[in-house]
Amino acid sequence: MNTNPPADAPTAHAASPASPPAASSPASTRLIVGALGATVLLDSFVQVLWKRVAVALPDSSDPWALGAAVLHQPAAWLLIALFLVQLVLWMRLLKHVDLSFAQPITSLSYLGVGLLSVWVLGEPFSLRKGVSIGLILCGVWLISGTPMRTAGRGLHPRQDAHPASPEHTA
Amino acid sequence: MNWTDAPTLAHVGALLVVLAAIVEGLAQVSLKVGAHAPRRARAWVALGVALFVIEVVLYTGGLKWLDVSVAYPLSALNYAAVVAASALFLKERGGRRRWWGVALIVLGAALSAPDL
Repeated sequence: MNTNPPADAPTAHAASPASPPAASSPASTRLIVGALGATVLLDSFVQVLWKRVAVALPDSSDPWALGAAVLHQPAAWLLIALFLVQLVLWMRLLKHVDLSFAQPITSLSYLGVGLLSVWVLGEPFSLRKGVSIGLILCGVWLISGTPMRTAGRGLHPRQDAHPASPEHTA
Repeated sequence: MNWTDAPTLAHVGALLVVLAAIVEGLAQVSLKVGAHAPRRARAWVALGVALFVIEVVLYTGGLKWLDVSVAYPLSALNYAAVVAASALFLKERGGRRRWWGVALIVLGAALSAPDL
């Protein structure tokens, strides 16, 4: 994205130019960016695995038969385990950043799925796919320039009084 | 699909998909509150997970009466619902820039539908 101001450090993507520098130390910003990246990668993988589990299901409308078929698939157990990992990772992330900051950024998984479908599955690259990915990238870039956390005196009380690091509330 | 008809099953399907997006917003807010609540964290997380299950049921119901090519772009509203719920219930203030970002993401996600 060439619209970034050149002065930005690579890790400053998720930091807000508007928030005081003390509100998020570089290390915690790096951790948050890493956790967001892991969330996006994990989510792309889960989507593909989920699809695989769903496709392998028998043609039945009986919920019990479907349930039994699901539990016989090792991939389904892996999927359930990954859901739990996702939940724990997501909750830890939400402790430090706005929900309305983190959740839209996970839309980057569309990018992963789009690129995978072209490179790995050999689906044709269409103009629509390109525009879709471009819009999502622009949207994520806009959001990454907003303050990581804006809320919540009620949610995390003394946060604003202790600008040292978000880890203090952990 | 013909949108000019009187309410049809497709409309009901669309309504279910939109409802699913709203439930997603509530589920995410529950998880966020749970992440900050040291004592009642489990209750909030349980509520969040239960809402996710409801969302899946609603969305699946929507798919029953709606083409994937319509349901999928509609479900891009999830992002708008989560940000709206964050502003409403959590008082998050990301400013106009965040809203524009979400608008672009909703558009982009809607455009990425399988076969529009």
